[in-house]
Amino acid sequence: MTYKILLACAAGMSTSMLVERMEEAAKKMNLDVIIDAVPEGKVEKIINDFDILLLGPQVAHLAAQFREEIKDKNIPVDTIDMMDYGMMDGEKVLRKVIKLLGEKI
Amino acid sequence: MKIELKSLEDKLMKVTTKLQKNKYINSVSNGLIAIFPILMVGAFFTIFNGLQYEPYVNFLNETGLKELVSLPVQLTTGMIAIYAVFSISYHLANSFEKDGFTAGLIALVSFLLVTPLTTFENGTIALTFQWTGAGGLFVAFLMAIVITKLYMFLIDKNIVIKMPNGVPPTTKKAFASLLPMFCIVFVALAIRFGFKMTSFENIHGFVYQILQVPLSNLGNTLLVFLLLKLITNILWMFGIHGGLVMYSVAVPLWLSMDYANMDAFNAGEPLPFILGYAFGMLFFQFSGTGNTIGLNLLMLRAKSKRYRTLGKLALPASICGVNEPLIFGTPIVLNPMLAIPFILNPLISGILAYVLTIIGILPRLNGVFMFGVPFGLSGFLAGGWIVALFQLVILVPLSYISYYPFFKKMDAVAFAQESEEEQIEEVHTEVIHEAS
Repeated sequence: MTYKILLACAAGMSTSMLVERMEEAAKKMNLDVIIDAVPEGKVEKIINDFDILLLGPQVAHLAAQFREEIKDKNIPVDTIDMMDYGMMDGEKVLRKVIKLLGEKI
Repeated sequence: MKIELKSLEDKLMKVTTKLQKNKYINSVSNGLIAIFPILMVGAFFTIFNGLQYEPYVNFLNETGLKELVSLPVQLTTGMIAIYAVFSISYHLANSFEKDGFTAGLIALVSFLLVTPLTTFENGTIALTFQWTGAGGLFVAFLMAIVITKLYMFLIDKNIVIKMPNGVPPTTKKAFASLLPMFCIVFVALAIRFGFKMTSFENIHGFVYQILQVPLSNLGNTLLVFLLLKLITNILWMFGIHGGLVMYSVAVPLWLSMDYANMDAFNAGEPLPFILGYAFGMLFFQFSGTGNTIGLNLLMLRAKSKRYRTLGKLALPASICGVNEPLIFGTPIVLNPMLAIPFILNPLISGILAYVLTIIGILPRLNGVFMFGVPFGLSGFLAGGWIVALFQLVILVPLSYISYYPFFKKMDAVAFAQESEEEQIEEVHTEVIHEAS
Protein backbone atom coordinates (compact mmCIF):
# COMPACT_ATOMS: atom_id res chain seq x y z
CA MET A 1 0.00 0.00 0.00
CA THR A 2 1.04 3.57 -0.59
CA TYR A 3 0.96 6.08 2.21
CA LYS A 4 -0.24 9.46 1.03
CA ILE A 5 0.84 12.07 3.54
CA LEU A 6 0.15 15.79 3.46
CA LEU A 7 2.27 18.17 5.54
CA ALA A 8 1.25 21.74 6.22
CA CYS A 9 3.01 24.72 7.73
CA ALA A 10 2.96 28.47 7.26
CA ALA A 11 4.61 28.81 3.88
CA GLY A 12 5.39 25.17 3.09
CA MET A 13 9.10 26.02 3.31
CA SER A 14 10.38 24.24 6.39
CA THR A 15 8.01 21.30 6.04
CA SER A 16 9.36 20.69 2.55
CA MET A 17 12.73 20.09 4.20
CA LEU A 18 11.13 17.45 6.37
CA VAL A 19 9.49 15.90 3.31
CA GLU A 20 12.93 15.19 1.87
CA ARG A 21 13.99 13.49 5.09
CA MET A 22 10.82 11.44 5.21
CA GLU A 23 11.26 10.29 1.63
CA GLU A 24 14.82 9.19 2.40
CA ALA A 25 13.59 7.29 5.45
CA ALA A 26 10.81 5.66 3.43
CA LYS A 27 13.33 4.42 0.90
CA LYS A 28 15.37 2.85 3.69
CA MET A 29 12.26 1.27 5.19
CA ASN A 30 11.12 0.02 1.79
CA LEU A 31 7.86 1.93 2.00
CA ASP A 32 5.80 3.34 -0.81
CA VAL A 33 4.98 6.97 -0.02
CA ILE A 34 3.61 10.09 -1.62
CA ILE A 35 4.42 13.11 0.54
CA ASP A 36 3.64 16.73 -0.16
CA ALA A 37 4.10 19.96 1.78
CA VAL A 38 1.82 22.95 1.36
CA PRO A 39 1.00 26.25 3.07
CA GLU A 40 -1.87 25.75 5.52
CA GLY A 41 -4.24 27.79 3.33
CA LYS A 42 -4.06 25.21 0.56
CA VAL A 43 -4.86 22.15 2.64
CA GLU A 44 -8.60 22.17 2.07
CA LYS A 45 -8.24 22.09 -1.68
CA ILE A 46 -6.11 18.97 -1.96
CA ILE A 47 -6.70 17.03 1.24
CA ASN A 48 -8.95 14.59 -0.59
CA ASP A 49 -5.94 13.07 -2.33
CA PHE A 50 -4.26 12.15 0.96
CA ASP A 51 -4.64 9.64 3.81
CA ILE A 52 -3.37 11.81 6.64
CA LEU A 53 -2.70 15.44 7.47
CA LEU A 54 0.34 16.39 9.55
CA LEU A 55 0.71 19.94 10.84
CA GLY A 56 4.02 21.60 11.58
CA PRO A 57 4.24 22.59 15.26
CA GLN A 58 4.12 26.29 14.35
CA VAL A 59 0.57 25.89 13.06
CA ALA A 60 -0.53 23.38 15.71
CA HIS A 61 -3.18 25.88 16.79
CA LEU A 62 -5.04 25.10 13.56
CA ALA A 63 -5.43 21.40 14.32
CA ALA A 64 -8.88 21.68 15.87
CA GLN A 65 -10.06 23.78 12.96
CA PHE A 66 -8.85 21.25 10.40
CA ARG A 67 -10.33 18.33 12.32
CA GLU A 68 -13.67 20.11 12.21
CA GLU A 69 -13.39 20.87 8.51
CA ILE A 70 -12.58 17.34 7.38
CA LYS A 71 -14.37 15.34 10.03
CA ASP A 72 -16.54 13.42 7.52
CA LYS A 73 -13.55 12.31 5.49
CA ASN A 74 -11.91 9.88 7.90
CA ILE A 75 -8.55 11.57 7.45
CA PRO A 76 -6.60 11.76 10.71
CA VAL A 77 -5.05 15.12 11.63
CA ASP A 78 -1.93 15.16 13.75
CA THR A 79 0.70 17.62 14.87
CA ILE A 80 4.33 16.78 14.29
CA ASP A 81 6.33 16.51 17.51
CA MET A 82 8.37 19.64 18.11
CA MET A 83 11.68 17.82 18.59
CA ASP A 84 11.19 15.50 15.62
CA TYR A 85 10.39 18.55 13.54
CA GLY A 86 13.39 20.52 14.74
CA MET A 87 15.81 17.65 14.24
CA MET A 88 14.12 16.86 10.91
CA ASP A 89 13.77 13.24 12.00
CA GLY A 90 11.99 11.81 8.96
CA GLU A 91 11.98 8.23 10.21
CA LYS A 92 10.28 9.02 13.52
CA VAL A 93 7.59 11.08 11.85
CA LEU A 94 7.02 8.33 9.32
CA ARG A 95 6.71 5.65 12.00
CA LYS A 96 4.10 7.73 13.76
CA VAL A 97 2.13 8.04 10.54
CA ILE A 98 2.15 4.29 10.08
CA LYS A 99 0.98 3.83 13.65
CA LEU A 100 -1.81 6.34 13.18
CA LEU A 101 -2.95 4.71 9.98
CA GLY A 102 -3.11 1.42 11.81
CA GLU A 103 -0.60 -0.46 9.72
CA LYS A 104 2.44 -2.30 10.96
CA ILE A 105 5.68 -2.61 9.11
CA MET B 1 3.43 27.11 36.80
CA LYS B 2 3.47 24.51 34.09
CA ILE B 3 -0.31 24.19 34.08
CA GLU B 4 -0.80 27.95 33.97
CA LEU B 5 1.52 28.17 30.98
CA LYS B 6 -0.49 25.50 29.23
CA SER B 7 -3.79 27.30 29.71
CA LEU B 8 -2.22 30.58 28.58
CA GLU B 9 -0.99 28.80 25.50
CA ASP B 10 -4.47 27.45 24.80
CA LYS B 11 -5.99 30.89 25.16
CA LEU B 12 -3.40 32.40 22.84
CA MET B 13 -4.10 29.70 20.30
CA LYS B 14 -7.82 30.37 20.36
CA VAL B 15 -7.37 34.08 19.73
CA THR B 16 -4.79 33.58 17.03
CA THR B 17 -6.85 30.96 15.24
CA LYS B 18 -9.81 33.31 15.19
CA LEU B 19 -7.77 36.14 13.77
CA GLN B 20 -6.04 33.97 11.25
CA LYS B 21 -9.12 32.13 10.11
CA ASN B 22 -11.13 35.31 9.61
CA LYS B 23 -12.31 34.93 6.04
CA TYR B 24 -11.97 38.60 5.11
CA ILE B 25 -8.48 39.09 6.51
CA ASN B 26 -7.51 35.76 5.05
CA SER B 27 -8.80 36.52 1.59
CA VAL B 28 -6.79 39.75 1.48
CA SER B 29 -3.56 38.04 2.46
CA ASN B 30 -4.21 34.93 0.36
CA GLY B 31 -5.22 37.09 -2.58
CA LEU B 32 -1.96 38.99 -2.28
CA ILE B 33 0.08 35.83 -1.91
CA ALA B 34 -1.52 34.43 -5.07
CA ILE B 35 -0.25 37.37 -7.14
CA PHE B 36 3.25 37.16 -5.70
CA PRO B 37 4.66 35.63 -8.90
CA ILE B 38 3.63 38.78 -10.78
CA LEU B 39 5.30 40.89 -8.11
CA MET B 40 8.45 38.80 -8.22
CA VAL B 41 8.75 39.61 -11.92
CA GLY B 42 8.30 43.26 -11.03
CA ALA B 43 10.91 43.06 -8.28
CA PHE B 44 13.34 41.31 -10.57
CA PHE B 45 13.09 43.96 -13.26
CA THR B 46 13.19 46.71 -10.65
CA ILE B 47 16.68 45.52 -9.82
CA PHE B 48 17.64 45.31 -13.50
CA ASN B 49 16.23 48.73 -14.07
CA GLY B 50 17.81 50.33 -11.05
CA LEU B 51 21.41 49.06 -11.08
CA GLN B 52 23.57 52.18 -10.90
CA TYR B 53 26.63 50.93 -12.73
CA GLU B 54 27.57 53.54 -15.28
CA PRO B 55 28.59 51.38 -18.26
CA TYR B 56 25.45 49.34 -17.70
CA VAL B 57 23.21 52.42 -17.54
CA ASN B 58 24.83 53.80 -20.70
CA PHE B 59 24.40 50.48 -22.44
CA LEU B 60 20.68 50.41 -21.60
CA ASN B 61 20.15 53.96 -22.80
CA GLU B 62 22.17 53.59 -26.00
CA THR B 63 20.57 50.35 -27.12
CA GLY B 64 17.10 51.54 -26.25
CA LEU B 65 16.72 48.57 -23.89
CA LYS B 66 15.89 50.93 -21.03
CA GLU B 67 12.26 51.18 -22.10
CA LEU B 68 12.02 47.44 -22.50
CA VAL B 69 13.46 46.76 -19.05
CA SER B 70 11.17 49.22 -17.29
CA LEU B 71 8.04 47.96 -19.03
CA PRO B 72 7.58 44.80 -16.92
CA VAL B 73 7.85 46.92 -13.75
CA GLN B 74 5.23 49.37 -14.93
CA LEU B 75 2.83 46.62 -15.88
CA THR B 76 3.32 44.51 -12.74
CA THR B 77 3.82 46.66 -9.64
CA GLY B 78 2.38 49.63 -11.51
CA MET B 79 -0.90 47.75 -11.91
CA ILE B 80 -0.88 45.82 -8.67
CA ALA B 81 -4.32 47.10 -7.63
CA ILE B 82 -5.93 45.59 -10.74
CA TYR B 83 -4.47 42.16 -10.07
CA ALA B 84 -5.20 42.41 -6.36
CA VAL B 85 -8.89 43.27 -6.71
CA PHE B 86 -9.53 40.21 -8.87
CA SER B 87 -7.42 37.87 -6.77
CA ILE B 88 -8.84 38.94 -3.41
CA SER B 89 -12.40 38.78 -4.63
CA TYR B 90 -11.75 35.36 -6.15
CA HIS B 91 -10.38 34.02 -2.87
CA LEU B 92 -13.12 35.56 -0.78
CA ALA B 93 -15.94 34.14 -2.91
CA ASN B 94 -14.23 30.75 -3.02
CA SER B 95 -13.92 30.67 0.76
CA PHE B 96 -17.71 31.02 0.91
CA GLU B 97 -18.02 28.33 -1.77
CA LYS B 98 -19.27 30.75 -4.41
CA ASP B 99 -18.07 31.13 -7.97
CA GLY B 100 -14.78 32.97 -7.47
CA PHE B 101 -14.11 33.68 -11.11
CA THR B 102 -17.39 35.54 -11.65
CA ALA B 103 -16.98 37.43 -8.38
CA GLY B 104 -13.46 38.41 -9.41
CA LEU B 105 -14.64 39.71 -12.76
CA ILE B 106 -17.43 41.74 -11.21
CA ALA B 107 -15.08 43.22 -8.64
CA LEU B 108 -12.59 44.12 -11.37
CA VAL B 109 -15.27 45.83 -13.46
CA SER B 110 -16.47 47.73 -10.38
CA PHE B 111 -12.93 48.79 -9.52
CA LEU B 112 -12.47 50.18 -13.02
CA LEU B 113 -15.85 51.90 -12.83
CA VAL B 114 -14.83 53.90 -9.77
CA THR B 115 -11.37 54.71 -11.15
CA PRO B 116 -11.11 58.06 -12.96
CA LEU B 117 -10.28 58.25 -16.66
CA THR B 118 -8.18 61.01 -18.15
CA THR B 119 -9.17 62.79 -21.34
CA PHE B 120 -6.30 64.36 -23.24
CA GLU B 121 -6.55 67.48 -25.41
CA ASN B 122 -6.62 65.50 -28.62
CA GLY B 123 -9.63 63.61 -27.37
CA THR B 124 -7.86 60.39 -26.40
CA ILE B 125 -9.32 58.80 -23.30
CA ALA B 126 -6.91 56.86 -21.11
CA LEU B 127 -6.74 54.95 -17.88
CA THR B 128 -3.55 56.25 -16.30
CA PHE B 129 -1.33 54.42 -13.87
CA GLN B 130 -2.12 56.94 -11.12
CA TRP B 131 -4.47 54.67 -9.19
CA THR B 132 -3.65 51.24 -10.58
CA GLY B 133 -0.44 50.84 -8.55
CA ALA B 134 0.30 51.02 -4.83
CA GLY B 135 -1.87 54.14 -4.53
CA GLY B 136 -5.00 52.24 -5.52
CA LEU B 137 -4.31 49.20 -3.39
CA PHE B 138 -6.61 50.13 -0.52
CA VAL B 139 -9.52 50.82 -2.84
CA ALA B 140 -8.76 47.42 -4.35
CA PHE B 141 -9.00 45.78 -0.89
CA LEU B 142 -12.25 47.62 -0.12
CA MET B 143 -13.91 47.05 -3.48
CA ALA B 144 -12.92 43.39 -3.52
CA ILE B 145 -14.54 42.81 -0.13
CA VAL B 146 -17.63 45.03 -0.50
CA ILE B 147 -18.49 44.02 -4.05
CA THR B 148 -17.92 40.33 -3.41
CA LYS B 149 -20.04 40.53 -0.28
CA LEU B 150 -22.79 42.22 -2.30
CA TYR B 151 -22.50 39.66 -5.08
CA MET B 152 -22.81 36.79 -2.61
CA PHE B 153 -25.76 38.51 -0.93
CA LEU B 154 -27.60 38.82 -4.26
CA ILE B 155 -26.90 35.19 -5.13
CA ASP B 156 -28.07 34.04 -1.68
CA LYS B 157 -31.26 36.09 -1.98
CA ASN B 158 -31.76 34.40 -5.33
CA ILE B 159 -31.87 37.64 -7.26
CA VAL B 160 -30.87 35.91 -10.47
CA ILE B 161 -32.44 35.28 -13.83
CA LYS B 162 -33.73 31.72 -13.81
CA MET B 163 -33.59 29.77 -17.02
CA PRO B 164 -36.00 26.95 -17.81
CA ASN B 165 -34.69 23.40 -17.58
CA GLY B 166 -33.02 22.14 -20.70
CA VAL B 167 -30.90 25.26 -21.16
CA PRO B 168 -27.20 24.27 -21.19
CA PRO B 169 -25.52 24.82 -17.78
CA THR B 170 -22.91 27.20 -19.23
CA THR B 171 -25.61 29.46 -20.57
CA LYS B 172 -27.48 29.19 -17.28
CA LYS B 173 -24.41 30.26 -15.38
CA ALA B 174 -23.76 33.24 -17.64
CA PHE B 175 -27.32 34.44 -17.22
CA ALA B 176 -27.34 33.76 -13.51
CA SER B 177 -24.58 36.29 -12.97
CA LEU B 178 -26.20 38.84 -15.26
CA LEU B 179 -28.66 40.35 -12.83
CA PRO B 180 -26.20 40.65 -9.89
CA MET B 181 -23.70 42.12 -12.36
CA PHE B 182 -26.15 44.85 -13.39
CA CYS B 183 -27.07 45.63 -9.79
CA ILE B 184 -23.42 45.94 -8.87
CA VAL B 185 -22.58 48.10 -11.86
CA PHE B 186 -25.27 50.53 -10.70
CA VAL B 187 -23.81 50.50 -7.21
CA ALA B 188 -20.34 51.20 -8.60
CA LEU B 189 -21.69 54.02 -10.75
CA ALA B 190 -23.45 55.46 -7.70
CA ILE B 191 -20.16 55.36 -5.79
CA ARG B 192 -18.43 57.12 -8.65
CA PHE B 193 -21.16 59.74 -8.87
CA GLY B 194 -21.25 60.25 -5.10
CA PHE B 195 -17.53 60.94 -4.86
CA LYS B 196 -17.64 63.19 -7.92
CA MET B 197 -19.78 65.51 -5.78
CA THR B 198 -17.07 65.82 -3.14
CA SER B 199 -13.79 67.69 -3.22
CA PHE B 200 -11.95 64.38 -3.56
CA GLU B 201 -13.48 63.87 -7.03
CA ASN B 202 -13.20 60.09 -6.80
CA ILE B 203 -13.06 57.29 -4.26
CA HIS B 204 -9.32 56.85 -4.79
CA GLY B 205 -8.51 60.36 -3.64
CA PHE B 206 -10.77 59.89 -0.64
CA VAL B 207 -9.46 56.51 0.49
CA TYR B 208 -5.89 57.52 -0.18
CA GLN B 209 -6.10 60.63 1.98
CA ILE B 210 -8.45 59.38 4.68
CA LEU B 211 -7.24 55.80 5.01
CA GLN B 212 -4.07 54.89 3.18
CA VAL B 213 -1.89 57.85 4.14
CA PRO B 214 -2.76 57.82 7.87
CA LEU B 215 -2.48 54.04 8.02
CA SER B 216 0.82 54.08 6.17
CA ASN B 217 2.05 56.78 8.54
CA LEU B 218 1.01 54.56 11.39
CA GLY B 219 2.70 51.59 9.73
CA ASN B 220 5.76 53.77 9.18
CA THR B 221 5.91 54.57 12.90
CA LEU B 222 8.76 52.76 14.58
CA LEU B 223 6.81 52.23 17.79
CA VAL B 224 3.90 50.45 16.08
CA PHE B 225 6.33 48.40 14.05
CA LEU B 226 8.28 47.39 17.16
CA LEU B 227 5.09 46.47 18.97
CA LEU B 228 3.94 44.15 16.15
CA LYS B 229 7.36 42.51 15.96
CA LEU B 230 7.43 42.12 19.74
CA ILE B 231 4.06 40.37 19.80
CA THR B 232 5.14 38.16 16.90
CA ASN B 233 8.26 37.05 18.71
CA ILE B 234 6.39 36.42 21.95
CA LEU B 235 3.86 34.27 20.07
CA TRP B 236 6.74 32.29 18.60
CA MET B 237 8.02 31.68 22.12
CA PHE B 238 4.78 29.75 22.61
CA GLY B 239 5.35 27.82 19.42
CA ILE B 240 2.73 29.73 17.46
CA HIS B 241 3.71 30.99 14.04
CA GLY B 242 3.50 34.60 15.12
CA GLY B 243 4.12 36.09 11.71
CA LEU B 244 1.27 34.21 10.16
CA VAL B 245 -1.08 35.63 12.75
CA MET B 246 0.06 39.22 13.24
CA TYR B 247 1.08 39.87 9.70
CA SER B 248 -2.15 38.76 8.09
CA VAL B 249 -3.37 42.16 9.21
CA ALA B 250 -0.19 44.17 8.77
CA VAL B 251 1.27 42.68 5.61
CA PRO B 252 -1.18 44.30 3.16
CA LEU B 253 -0.27 47.64 4.69
CA TRP B 254 3.47 46.99 4.71
CA LEU B 255 3.39 45.67 1.15
CA SER B 256 1.58 48.77 -0.07
CA MET B 257 4.44 50.79 1.47
CA ASP B 258 7.02 48.59 -0.24
CA TYR B 259 5.30 48.98 -3.60
CA ALA B 260 5.16 52.73 -3.17
CA ASN B 261 8.92 52.67 -2.62
CA MET B 262 9.37 50.41 -5.62
CA ASP B 263 7.36 52.78 -7.83
CA ALA B 264 9.38 55.77 -6.64
CA PHE B 265 12.63 53.85 -7.10
CA ASN B 266 11.72 53.08 -10.70
CA ALA B 267 10.74 56.65 -11.38
CA GLY B 268 14.00 57.86 -9.84
CA GLU B 269 12.11 59.79 -7.16
CA PRO B 270 12.91 59.92 -3.42
CA LEU B 271 11.60 56.85 -1.59
CA PRO B 272 8.63 57.71 0.66
CA PHE B 273 8.97 55.07 3.40
CA ILE B 274 11.65 53.79 5.73
CA LEU B 275 9.73 50.87 7.17
CA GLY B 276 7.73 48.21 5.35
CA TYR B 277 7.62 44.48 4.80
CA ALA B 278 11.12 44.36 3.34
CA PHE B 279 12.57 46.37 6.24
CA GLY B 280 11.10 43.90 8.72
CA MET B 281 12.36 40.88 6.85
CA LEU B 282 15.86 42.25 6.21
CA PHE B 283 16.65 43.57 9.68
CA PHE B 284 14.20 42.18 12.23
CA GLN B 285 14.42 38.62 10.98
CA PHE B 286 17.10 38.35 8.32
CA SER B 287 17.96 34.83 9.48
CA GLY B 288 14.47 33.83 10.60
CA THR B 289 12.39 35.07 13.53
CA GLY B 290 14.63 35.98 16.44
CA ASN B 291 17.66 36.47 14.17
CA THR B 292 19.00 33.13 15.29
CA ILE B 293 22.04 32.95 13.02
CA GLY B 294 24.29 33.65 16.04
CA LEU B 295 22.74 30.77 17.92
CA ASN B 296 23.27 28.56 14.91
CA LEU B 297 26.95 29.51 14.60
CA LEU B 298 27.44 28.91 18.33
CA MET B 299 25.97 25.45 17.92
CA LEU B 300 28.51 24.50 15.28
CA ARG B 301 31.20 24.72 17.98
CA ALA B 302 29.12 23.45 20.89
CA LYS B 303 30.43 20.90 23.37
CA SER B 304 27.16 19.02 23.30
CA LYS B 305 26.83 16.57 20.45
CA ARG B 306 23.10 17.18 20.11
CA TYR B 307 23.57 20.90 19.48
CA ARG B 308 26.42 20.30 17.06
CA THR B 309 24.21 17.98 15.00
CA LEU B 310 21.33 20.45 15.07
CA GLY B 311 23.63 23.32 14.15
CA LYS B 312 24.91 21.55 11.05
CA LEU B 313 21.41 20.48 10.08
CA ALA B 314 19.90 23.94 10.47
CA LEU B 315 22.64 26.11 8.94
CA PRO B 316 21.67 26.12 5.23
CA ALA B 317 18.05 26.95 6.04
CA SER B 318 19.15 29.60 8.55
CA ILE B 319 21.17 31.36 5.88
CA CYS B 320 18.04 31.50 3.74
CA GLY B 321 16.02 32.96 6.60
CA VAL B 322 14.17 29.77 7.57
CA ASN B 323 14.80 28.75 11.17
CA GLU B 324 12.06 26.38 12.24
CA PRO B 325 14.61 23.59 12.88
CA LEU B 326 16.27 25.82 15.49
CA ILE B 327 13.02 27.05 16.98
CA PHE B 328 11.70 23.55 17.54
CA GLY B 329 14.90 21.51 17.69
CA THR B 330 16.78 23.53 20.30
CA PRO B 331 14.00 24.15 21.39
CA ILE B 332 13.48 27.90 21.67
CA VAL B 333 9.77 27.38 22.23
CA LEU B 334 8.86 27.64 25.93
CA ASN B 335 12.56 27.92 26.76
CA PRO B 336 13.04 30.78 29.22
CA MET B 337 16.83 30.68 28.75
CA LEU B 338 16.59 31.91 25.18
CA ALA B 339 13.59 34.21 25.56
CA ILE B 340 15.71 37.30 26.20
CA PRO B 341 17.90 37.18 23.07
CA PHE B 342 15.10 35.78 20.92
CA ILE B 343 12.77 38.66 21.74
CA LEU B 344 15.27 41.48 22.20
CA ASN B 345 17.87 40.91 19.48
CA PRO B 346 15.45 41.56 16.59
CA LEU B 347 14.24 44.75 18.24
CA ILE B 348 17.79 46.01 18.80
CA SER B 349 18.82 45.09 15.24
CA GLY B 350 15.75 46.82 13.83
CA ILE B 351 16.16 49.99 15.89
CA LEU B 352 19.81 50.15 14.89
CA ALA B 353 18.88 49.85 11.20
CA TYR B 354 16.19 52.49 11.63
CA VAL B 355 18.54 54.98 13.27
CA LEU B 356 21.22 54.38 10.64
CA THR B 357 18.63 55.00 7.92
CA ILE B 358 17.46 58.22 9.58
CA ILE B 359 20.98 59.61 9.79
CA GLY B 360 21.63 58.57 6.21
CA ILE B 361 24.23 55.83 6.61
CA LEU B 362 21.86 53.17 5.31
CA PRO B 363 19.72 53.96 2.26
CA ARG B 364 15.95 53.57 2.27
CA LEU B 365 14.98 50.18 0.84
CA ASN B 366 13.61 49.90 -2.68
CA GLY B 367 10.95 47.47 -1.47
CA VAL B 368 12.37 44.35 -3.11
CA PHE B 369 12.22 41.28 -0.92
CA MET B 370 12.13 37.68 -2.03
CA PHE B 371 11.53 34.97 0.52
CA GLY B 372 14.30 32.39 0.74
CA VAL B 373 17.11 34.56 -0.62
CA PRO B 374 20.20 34.26 1.63
CA PHE B 375 20.92 37.26 3.84
CA GLY B 376 23.62 39.47 2.46
CA LEU B 377 22.22 38.94 -1.01
CA SER B 378 18.76 39.96 0.20
CA GLY B 379 20.24 43.16 1.61
CA PHE B 380 22.15 43.83 -1.59
CA LEU B 381 19.03 43.52 -3.72
CA ALA B 382 17.01 45.88 -1.54
CA GLY B 383 19.58 48.55 -0.84
CA GLY B 384 22.97 47.81 -2.38
CA TRP B 385 26.25 46.66 -0.89
CA ILE B 386 26.04 48.85 2.20
CA VAL B 387 22.90 47.06 3.41
CA ALA B 388 24.55 43.72 2.64
CA LEU B 389 27.59 44.76 4.67
CA PHE B 390 25.39 45.93 7.53
CA GLN B 391 23.71 42.52 7.65
CA LEU B 392 26.94 40.55 7.47
CA VAL B 393 29.36 42.65 9.49
CA ILE B 394 27.08 44.21 12.13
CA LEU B 395 23.93 42.11 12.51
CA VAL B 396 25.50 38.63 12.40
CA PRO B 397 28.08 39.39 15.13
CA LEU B 398 25.37 41.18 17.12
CA SER B 399 23.26 38.03 17.00
CA TYR B 400 26.27 35.94 18.04
CA ILE B 401 26.95 38.16 21.06
CA SER B 402 23.27 38.26 22.05
CA TYR B 403 22.95 34.49 22.20
CA TYR B 404 26.46 33.77 23.52
CA PRO B 405 26.00 33.87 27.32
CA PHE B 406 22.66 32.09 27.24
CA PHE B 407 23.74 29.38 24.89
CA LYS B 408 26.98 28.71 26.79
CA LYS B 409 24.94 27.83 29.87
CA MET B 410 22.56 25.61 27.92
CA ASP B 411 25.45 23.90 26.21
CA ALA B 412 27.20 23.17 29.50
CA VAL B 413 24.03 21.62 30.92
CA ALA B 414 23.43 19.53 27.80
CA PHE B 415 27.07 18.43 27.71
CA ALA B 416 26.98 17.35 31.35
CA GLN B 417 23.79 15.42 30.66
CA GLU B 418 25.26 13.71 27.64
CA SER B 419 28.45 12.63 29.43
CA GLU B 420 26.40 11.33 32.34
CA GLU B 421 24.27 9.28 29.97
CA GLU B 422 27.42 7.96 28.31
CA GLN B 423 28.86 6.95 31.67
CA ILE B 424 25.72 5.11 32.65
CA GLU B 425 25.80 3.34 29.33
CA GLU B 426 29.44 2.37 29.85
CA VAL B 427 28.76 1.02 33.32
CA HIS B 428 25.77 -0.79 31.92
CA THR B 429 27.86 -2.46 29.23
CA GLU B 430 30.50 -3.42 31.77
CA VAL B 431 27.88 -5.02 34.02
CA ILE B 432 26.52 -7.02 31.14
CA HIS B 433 30.06 -7.94 30.20
CA GLU B 434 30.88 -9.19 33.67
CA ALA B 435 27.60 -11.04 33.97
CA SER B 436 28.26 -12.96 30.81
